Amino acid sequence: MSGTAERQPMLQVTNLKKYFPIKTGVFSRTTGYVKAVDDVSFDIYPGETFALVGESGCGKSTTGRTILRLQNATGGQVIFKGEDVYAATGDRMRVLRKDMQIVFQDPYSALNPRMTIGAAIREIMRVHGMATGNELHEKAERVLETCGLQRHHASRYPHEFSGGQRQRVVIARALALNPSLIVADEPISALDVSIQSQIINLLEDLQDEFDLTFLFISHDLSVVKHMAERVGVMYLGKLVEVAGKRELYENPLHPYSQALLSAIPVSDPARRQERIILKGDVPSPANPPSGCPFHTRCPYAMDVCRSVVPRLRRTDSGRHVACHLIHPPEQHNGDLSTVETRIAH
Amino acid sequence: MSELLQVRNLEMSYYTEGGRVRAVDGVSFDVEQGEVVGIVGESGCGKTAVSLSILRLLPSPPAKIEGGEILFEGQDLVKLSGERLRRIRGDDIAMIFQEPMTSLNPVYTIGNQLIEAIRLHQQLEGKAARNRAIEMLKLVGIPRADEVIDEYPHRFSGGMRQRAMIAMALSCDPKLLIADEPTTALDVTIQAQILELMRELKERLHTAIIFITHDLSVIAEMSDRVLVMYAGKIVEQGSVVDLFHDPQHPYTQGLIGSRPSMDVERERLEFIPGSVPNPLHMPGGCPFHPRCSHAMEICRREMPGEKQGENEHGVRCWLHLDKSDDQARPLRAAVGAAEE
Ligand SMILES: Nc1ncnc2c1ncn2[C@@H]1O[C@H](COP(=O)(O)OP(=O)(O)OP(=O)(O)O)[C@@H](O)[C@H]1O
Ligand SMILES: Nc1ncnc2c1ncn2[C@@H]1O[C@H](COP(=O)(O)OP(=O)(O)OP(=O)(O)O)[C@@H](O)[C@H]1O
Ligand code: SF4
Ligand code: SF4
Ligand SMILES: [Mg+2]
Ligand SMILES: [Mg+2]
Repeated sequence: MSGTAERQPMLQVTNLKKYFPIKTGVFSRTTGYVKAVDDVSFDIYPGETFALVGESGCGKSTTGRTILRLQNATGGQVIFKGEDVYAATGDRMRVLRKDMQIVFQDPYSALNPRMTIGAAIREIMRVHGMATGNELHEKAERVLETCGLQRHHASRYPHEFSGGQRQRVVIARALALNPSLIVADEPISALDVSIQSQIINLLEDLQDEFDLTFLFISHDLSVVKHMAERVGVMYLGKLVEVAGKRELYENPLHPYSQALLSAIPVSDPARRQERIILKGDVPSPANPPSGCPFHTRCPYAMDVCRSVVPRLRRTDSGRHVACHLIHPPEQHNGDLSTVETRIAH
Repeated sequence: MSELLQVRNLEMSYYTEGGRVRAVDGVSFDVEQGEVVGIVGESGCGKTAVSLSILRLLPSPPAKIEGGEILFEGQDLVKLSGERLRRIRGDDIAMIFQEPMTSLNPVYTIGNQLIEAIRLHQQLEGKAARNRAIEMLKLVGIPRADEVIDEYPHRFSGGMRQRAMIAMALSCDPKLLIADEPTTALDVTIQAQILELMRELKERLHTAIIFITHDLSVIAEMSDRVLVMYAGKIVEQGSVVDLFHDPQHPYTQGLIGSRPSMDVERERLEFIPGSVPNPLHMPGGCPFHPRCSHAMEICRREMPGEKQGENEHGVRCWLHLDKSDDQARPLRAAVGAAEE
């Protein structure tokens, strides 16, 4: 995105870590850790959509949840609108919680089956002191309307809706608190294909109307291409590339990004393409490879990749990549353009 | 070209507590030798029901085949039973499921299961059968095949299990392979590996494949011909190029238009209003009419017949059939189709 340099980020994630202990044996001793999120850093600017992509288990959801402190991070820092999320307590945390909302993949499990959706939305608005009395009813119904439902739907229970409508309800409930940031974790993956585009359009409309900022988590790279301004590619708990959408899709620099993008099936039979077929499986995050986590599958892996972890570094063109090909380990600030062009081909 | 499989007016219902679900409602299509036929459609449209009918693997009750023929090399599978059916199922038609664990037995090693299949279908014994099994695992790209052959399925990753399933399915050298969402549970880079593998095997072994998925792009990659299903019916079928470049049915058009494209950037996505109908309360007439922006009077009364175009491009939609002016009256205003 142009001009991001002058603006203040809304969210700054620095060296975020989340390790889950692996317990084994009768005494449940901790014998190791799943490094679900391992040293992840990125910024999100006001009004933009930042997407996290990557394969199952790479740590996308855990990143989202630790940012909102729905799960406590093992390390690192999350700054939201200038405030350290992990330093906030009591009232401050309540305010932050309201300002950062999350929408999950499965709208059914996100809703209480025994509460009408109107009651659910009023409840959460009351808890956060958004309104009282009659105004609550009015506001709840209005937010349903904003999300493409009807006012009388407020008296219905979750099971009385289709999947797409339920996801609208969940979005309405998040929107009711008037947040600045919405973490949308696979918000369309559980929906019928013919419904997905309705929800994408809705999210985009709401973004325009309410100036929302999105952290959009998805494994659907076509949807990400449609929605996002900037994209972070994750592999085994690490960010391997962060770039503007156009740069990334036109010219991915990290070998994993290249393989990931070339693996997307193209819905045009006339354009069946040659693709980079990776060898081997995604390694277990409980036992990640040494050095570069991608070296077991990388077509360009070198000796150094097995021992030295490549750090996420800025390239001359302003993108961030974690790969020894782009930033040779002994060379920190040299001229990288030659290497960049080499990889591009 | 010789037809390997001819499905004619297949009718299959599930009798559930809530009532009768017409899971397959008058479906007809052909599969030629060595051809890949893709079946695409949303959850619940009857894709799995079609494949389970062909293999006669339906749970009965609640399932019942109520009409039609399934001719495999001229033999009607609907009428077969017992030993002859089992023989065809083992030797000539094989199936790969979405979740490989449903067909891999967790208490036997991968090798045991593969060797058993090879003994049954290839009449090989002992060392020869084991060697053949290792060969099959190598063929599907499993590394260190001679070691992992003695592993249990739970030690395999999702991609490896799916490969083992494919090896198992191919061990009987089938004429027809039915692959039901074989890559849906897999990551995209692993999906690319499996699709590549299936393409290679098809070239090499000349196996016909029925490839089932709800993912249009996967269909575009894999198929020679495509069937689009909606509510138990085939609403459009044709060559993969005709279907993607010249879709005729409003549902097919909607499906293709609602996916974000990788090359063209659009501001807004098209969408299909409403949602997939409840199978217990199917709309009358054309089942798509409550969601169709072209719907006409006749659409809510009568199911359209199939109109055959050039190149065996068939479509079931009143737009392409003769009707009176009265019948052609629009059901709703052109813009803003009804959404509940
Ligand atoms: N509560 C937990 N306890 C232990 N391990 C966990 C827990 N939550 C997640 N993990 C592990 O952390 C890793 C990252 O999981 P996460 O759910 O963040 O991945 P993801 O990228 O969202 O994947 P998906 O695309 O499948 O949703 C995985 O290996 C997962 O098994
Ligand atoms: N065992 C069963 N008992 C009763 N109804 C069933 C059963 N299996 C499937 N159905 C119903 O039959 C219809 C067709 O189901 P089918 O599994 O063939 O759909 P599908 O197209 O394969 O969907 P998916 O993409 O979700 O796999 C659905 O309405 C479904 O609810
Ligand atoms: S650091 Fe090495 S192994 Fe990792 S992506 Fe770059 S070249 Fe490949
Ligand atoms: S038959 Fe009528 S309702 Fe059905 S798809 Fe065609 S125009 Fe639409
Ligand atoms: Mg997740
Ligand atoms: Mg199915």
